[in-house]
Amino acid sequence: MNWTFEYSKEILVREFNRLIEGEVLNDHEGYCTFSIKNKNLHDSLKILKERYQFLKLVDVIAYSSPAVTVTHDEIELVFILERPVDCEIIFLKTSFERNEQVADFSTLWQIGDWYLREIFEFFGLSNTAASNRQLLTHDNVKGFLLRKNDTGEVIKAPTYRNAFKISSAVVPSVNSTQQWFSFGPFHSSLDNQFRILMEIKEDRIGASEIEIGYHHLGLEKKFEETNSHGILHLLHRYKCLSGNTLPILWCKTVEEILQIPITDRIAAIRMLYLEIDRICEHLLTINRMLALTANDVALAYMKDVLRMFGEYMYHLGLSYAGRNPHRFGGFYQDIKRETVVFILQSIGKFERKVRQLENQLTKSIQWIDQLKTNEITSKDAMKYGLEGPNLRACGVKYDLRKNAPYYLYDEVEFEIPLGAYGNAYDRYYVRMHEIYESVKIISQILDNIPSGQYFMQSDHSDMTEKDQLNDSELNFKKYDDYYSNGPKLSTKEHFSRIENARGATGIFIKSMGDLRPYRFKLNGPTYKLLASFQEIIRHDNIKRLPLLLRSFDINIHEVDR
Amino acid sequence: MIPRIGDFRKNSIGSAAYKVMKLMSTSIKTLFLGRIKSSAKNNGHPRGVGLPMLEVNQKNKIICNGCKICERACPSSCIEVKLSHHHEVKMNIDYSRCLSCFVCEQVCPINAITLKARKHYLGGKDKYLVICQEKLVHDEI
Repeated sequence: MNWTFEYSKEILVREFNRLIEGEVLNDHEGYCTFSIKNKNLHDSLKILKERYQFLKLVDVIAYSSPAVTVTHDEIELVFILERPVDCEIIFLKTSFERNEQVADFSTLWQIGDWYLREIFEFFGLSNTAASNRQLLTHDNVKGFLLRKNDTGEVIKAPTYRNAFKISSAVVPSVNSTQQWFSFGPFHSSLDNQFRILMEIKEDRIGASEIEIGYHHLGLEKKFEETNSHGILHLLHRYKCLSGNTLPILWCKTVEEILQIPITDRIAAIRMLYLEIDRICEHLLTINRMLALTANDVALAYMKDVLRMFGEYMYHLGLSYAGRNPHRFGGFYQDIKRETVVFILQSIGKFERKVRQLENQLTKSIQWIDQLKTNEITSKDAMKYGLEGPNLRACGVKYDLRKNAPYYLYDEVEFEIPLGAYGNAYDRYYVRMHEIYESVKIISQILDNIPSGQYFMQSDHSDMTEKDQLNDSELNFKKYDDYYSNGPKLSTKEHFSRIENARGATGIFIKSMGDLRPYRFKLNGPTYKLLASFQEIIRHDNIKRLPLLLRSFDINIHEVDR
Repeated sequence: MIPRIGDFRKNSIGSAAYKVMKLMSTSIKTLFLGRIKSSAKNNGHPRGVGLPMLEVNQKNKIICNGCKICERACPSSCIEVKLSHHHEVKMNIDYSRCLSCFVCEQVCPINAITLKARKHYLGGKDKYLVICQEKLVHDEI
């Protein structure tokens, strides 16, 4: 592969126009948007991937087009592609009629199969890959739920999934010598509810299939009927990704849409919250791995570390029972000076404790032996669509904080730890060293925390504080209007993302100048991981499967959204 | 750091005790400082986080004036405020849908509604878990 060339946006637009004829191209809001005809979909995806190195399929979003009538019914597909070399993002748009079929793009990306199934499930668009099965909802839910002019119905009688089998070749017969094994949905080593059905050859795993959708919440449907203020509070309670990432990401999205400027202080405090969340997730992942291997000495150290970390969470108000500190354009409360002093004084001690824990593990032969499974090469990792620490463990240096920095990440010094072999030990190693880097970032932020306001008032929403309510009657009207309706979202199609403990996560929103979003989609790293999980665990020992599942840090809440 | 069996022999009991004390140092500190206790206080409670309750004045009457901001702001829409023609306020809250998100407390302009951990959690006894006016004020079933 040739990595030396650099295609600027203009060259890409000109050349792509020549290859795919008769298309409209436009450039708005910093992203390149190509709108093409649906018959050219597969060709243009292939060209973009192989010729222009857009190796990552970030997301596929479908929504019924706004000008919808009973006779004329169109569904628009938006592909978001990314070039990992320079983090260039492009949008590819097509529109489909109800009878037409989507071209099969699962040959280009492993994740494509699940995206095709999801589009069929919620919009009724069939595809040429013949994978027209339900993915997220149960069989007793009928109808295409996310269509605007279609209402779904629920059949009350209990039905069971008929379509759940690996392939016709593997279906067990009386005389077959093949063995079957069903793992999950409820298992002591699984913290999440999903099921893996696999074929076993001696002690190795063969073909397998994953069933998800055990607690599908229908969040995307609910958010289309909720105003942006309600979404913020629901996301804070939902916590599908670690702690405060989702409310911060939603605040970031709304601020970008409404063009609310934020001060350095707000950015710094948000970075603090994000890094604290990252440490929390990594510690819990390692804790879960330790609990499975019954390593008592390390667990005692871990308990000590977690107890100390709990104090930080309590002081910052990030515990489960805590209230939501985020709002559009800042926070409800400024960070206390005592908290800053307390964390700054004790963060060195915290790091020493983590190092004590690491000394027990990193060089112990027993620990290395247990985790020496499932090596993934970097080429495969890109093919599977891994993200975050799992990708970095394979040796791919990709981190949104470095590659496409947001907030103040370009002013802070830190490094990206990498693994060599991509096995379970490397995934542990990368997580452990990311904790040190996060500690480094936190101490740098708190050492010189920028001064300024903790809340920026925007022009779009006339917010009044609680103290000013008695001043005039107009103030009360504004106050009521802000909390019951929330800010008005301007007409835009926007995608913004953030680096989470598990990888890059994003929110796509299409708004029509209304209080509510027209289409809202969450995009998480675990969805991509599980979509290609059958390839990852193939030829692996069944004995090591529980530890392997925990080393990947799977969170099913972001898949069953 | 962790005491071994050899440490508990006759001569070195002192060092073993020292190591044990050192291991428990954070827990001993936090026990006296009482920082973590607040989160551990609700451990015996079936629902650790609070549920919305109404505040009363000295005459034992609710101070809510029925402005309905909380009804509109609630993200799970579990609050229902009714106004009779004598401007009496009646409020029902569906506890089964409540997320304890503190929005109603945050929004209320006169602090008439607060979140408290209830002594008697209304579990399976109430069929629909919709709590009427009297039960919102007093923590009894």
